[in-house]
Amino acid sequence: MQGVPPPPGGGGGGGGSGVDPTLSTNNSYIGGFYGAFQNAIIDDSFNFIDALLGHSHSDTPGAPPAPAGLGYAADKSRTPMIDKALAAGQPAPRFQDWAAWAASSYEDALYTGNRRNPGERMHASSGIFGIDRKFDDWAFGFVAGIGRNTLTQNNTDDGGRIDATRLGGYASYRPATGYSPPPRQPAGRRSRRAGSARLRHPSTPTPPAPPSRPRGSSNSGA
Amino acid sequence: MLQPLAGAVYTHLHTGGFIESGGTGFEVAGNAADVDSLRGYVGLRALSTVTVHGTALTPELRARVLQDFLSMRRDLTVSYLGDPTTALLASGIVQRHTAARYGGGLEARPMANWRLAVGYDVEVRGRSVAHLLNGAVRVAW
Repeated sequence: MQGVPPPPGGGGGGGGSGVDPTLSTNNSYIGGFYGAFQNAIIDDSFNFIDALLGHSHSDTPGAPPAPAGLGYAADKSRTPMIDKALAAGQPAPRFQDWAAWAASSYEDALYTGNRRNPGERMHASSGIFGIDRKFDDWAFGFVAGIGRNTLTQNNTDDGGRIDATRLGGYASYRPATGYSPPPRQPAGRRSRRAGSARLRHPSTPTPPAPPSRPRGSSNSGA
Repeated sequence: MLQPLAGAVYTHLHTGGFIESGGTGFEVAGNAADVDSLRGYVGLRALSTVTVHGTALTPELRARVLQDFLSMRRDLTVSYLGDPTTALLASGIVQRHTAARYGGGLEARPMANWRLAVGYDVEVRGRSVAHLLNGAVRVAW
């Protein structure tokens, strides 16, 4: 990237309202475009971390999902005594320990200029891949990604490109949720709603029917 | 279901010095620069899950307010190669500290251990606008 001669007519025609043609053109001469790269890199960093965190929602069935990244839930109950007491209750489902995820994004951004800078347009695309493993309430993972940002200055068509490779590690802590009561149901009906609680009220266990004995069989042994 | 969102991201950016090449006579040498950014956000999202042909679908609407707590100046000092004693300030765009990002998404769970998601967001920061498309897939085993 380098400075370019002013566009025909003295330059500064495409910077939008409020742009001083002389100042913006001079700024493009002396490298004001490099400031746009700082904005692009910082914005890209924020978007990368934002995607990685994924807002960290629970992975429990029926619970809110996570767009990507770290959403998971621990598979260990915080109420083991209640679990034991509710022996007839269904145990919390065992979730997988390993997870792999991939995410991609595309961004079209217009940085509107100011009096000294004509502004830029940016196209950014990226892809990231992560793998993590759970240990009780914790998840640890690695992530790798690539990205490309292309910037074009508004009034000079001066352009540049940022190619990025990202490697990183992450950790997330999400304690298991405790007991939450199931929704009220009319008498005699059993809730069929799944996943709203890690622990469920035990339904009255129905004793299994005794196996029918084939005719002619006998319990007598030898 | 409504869910609050909050977070913060700190970024330190160091750019090394550089020297332009060319024959226009306007080539510059730039100094190294350091920029710090601390961006926090609060927001809210609304979502609900329905099951269609055995696939759990979760549409979502979300909105966040982003706030930059540090300086938004993006400058660096340069000098012409032909006149290295004169330092000039190259001014990048100074964006506003506050932005709004809102959008929506859809997640599908065709199986218990598979998740597919797509989303679209718009970020408005003063007169600057960014459109973001994203997609993700996650499998657990």
